[in-house]
Formats: sequence, structure tokens, C-alpha cells
Amino acid sequence: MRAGVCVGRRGGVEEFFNRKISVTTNSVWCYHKYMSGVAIALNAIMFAVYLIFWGAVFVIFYHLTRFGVGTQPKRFAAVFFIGSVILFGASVILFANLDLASLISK
Amino acid sequence: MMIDRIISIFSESSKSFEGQEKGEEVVLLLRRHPFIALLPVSTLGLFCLVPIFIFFIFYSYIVANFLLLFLFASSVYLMIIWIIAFFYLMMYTLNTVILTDRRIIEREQSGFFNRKVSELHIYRIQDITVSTKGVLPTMIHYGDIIVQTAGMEQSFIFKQIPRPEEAKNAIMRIVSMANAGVKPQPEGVNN
Repeated sequence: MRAGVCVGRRGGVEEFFNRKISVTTNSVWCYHKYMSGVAIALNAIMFAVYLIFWGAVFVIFYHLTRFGVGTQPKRFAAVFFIGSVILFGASVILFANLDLASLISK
Repeated sequence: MMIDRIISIFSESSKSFEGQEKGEEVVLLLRRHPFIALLPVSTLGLFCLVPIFIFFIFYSYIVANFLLLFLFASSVYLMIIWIIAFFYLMMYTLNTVILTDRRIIEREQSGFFNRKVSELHIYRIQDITVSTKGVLPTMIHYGDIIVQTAGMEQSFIFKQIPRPEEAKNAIMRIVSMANAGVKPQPEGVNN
């Protein structure tokens, strides 16, 4: 189950992201509220991490291509950029597949 | 056409550089010995193995509970290692000594935004000394080249240059040719 805003009321059945869920105890209610906040925080943290990563990639790539003399810095820049794209892609795919709700519950 | 232009930056170039004067040609390009860059990069390579070791040590626990989380954390860890490794490679490749038919330019990059450029006209060069100290520099052939200039100015020291004797001879040859009024030909040492 994905994290989201909890709309349930104790003792009833409410819709949660178009799914009917039973909200039977206080703990279930709190659990969903907590999950939502943590999920948003984790997404924000990862956004910041990826932003810093691409900032660093830009600075290194710029230095290699702008100030490098000869062919060696340009080759380094090409390898660095391709590697960065691959690593970033892998990381984003893995993050998207993470089930944050079940991790938090553990 | 566009693709040819992009690919051309990876082929042998005329070695243009920032601050190059009109008609000035790069004769020799020197960098520090690759071993200087290899040392931190290979250490970081060993750090890349840490997630693999952790995976094999806690194999059953990770697979049962946190496989995706572990893979994701490893990918972020590798991204950090990747940036640090290329930071060292950038420092290595941007520290250059450029010898043109007119002058010697030393470019020292000490950080992202910390760069020092010193230059010396080749007619001011008086003598060149090579200094190789220690077991490692002797074994893998690298050392410092000290260029003494005319006058009271500080001497130039080019550190950890591979095959310093060859580089010194090349510099001397270029200086002699320039003093004799002959245009020096590009040398193929360490580019």
C-alpha cells in the first residue's frame, strides 16, 4: 500500500487512494498519518540528494570540458557523464520500486 | 556534421588552452604521473566493494527483508563514490604544465574554485634540474623538474612528472630551438 493522506475514521470503512480500507483501531489511523509524513520527507530528501548529485556532476563536467587541455579531460568527461546517467537511472528506478509503507511498518 | 564535431573533441587536437595567444602552438603537455591519480581512485574502488561484502555477510537477512532498500542504498553510495573518484581524476587532469613555442604555463587546480596559473617566457630559462627522491619515484620513474629562471624570481617546480629526464631533455631542446630562432616541433611526451 502506498503512503498517502489518511481519511479514515475509527470504526468505519473509508476510501484511501480509491481503495476501501477498514479503519478499526486507533493504531491503524495513526499508522497511516505517520506513513504519509515519512514518505513525503523521504521523497524530499531524495530530491535534495539527486539535486546535489547533478550539481556536482555539472561542476566536474564543466571543469573537465572547459579547462581541460588535450584529449584526456574530454574522455574523462564523457565517461563521467555516461556513468552518472546510468547510476542516476538505476537509483531512481530502485527508489520508485521501494515500498516505503511496508518498510516503515517493519 | 554536428555528430562529427562532437566526436572530434575526443580525437587528437591541437591542444588549445585558455589564454592562448594568437599563433602560439603547444609543443609539450606534461601532467603528473598517473600513479598519483591511481592511488586515491583505486582506494575508492575498494570502497565500492563494501556493499558486496555486506550483501554476502548478511545475505539471508537482506534477501528476506530489505533487498530493494539495500540495492537502493548501494546505488546512492556508489553515486557518492563516483563523484569523489572523478573529483580526484579532475584534479589530476587539470594540473598541467604546458610548454608552447613562447612560454611555459603551469596550471594548478587545488579545488573546484581554486586555480593558480603561473607562466614563464622560455627565453628566461637558465637551467633545469631533475630531482627524484624516494623508492617509489625511482621505481616507477617520476620526479620533480626544477626550472631556474634569470634574475631573482622564484624557480618553477613541476612536481611528480613521469620520466623527468626525457621531459627535461625535451624542454631543453625546445628552449634551444626557440633561442636559435627555429620554431619548435610538437613533442609527444605525456599528453
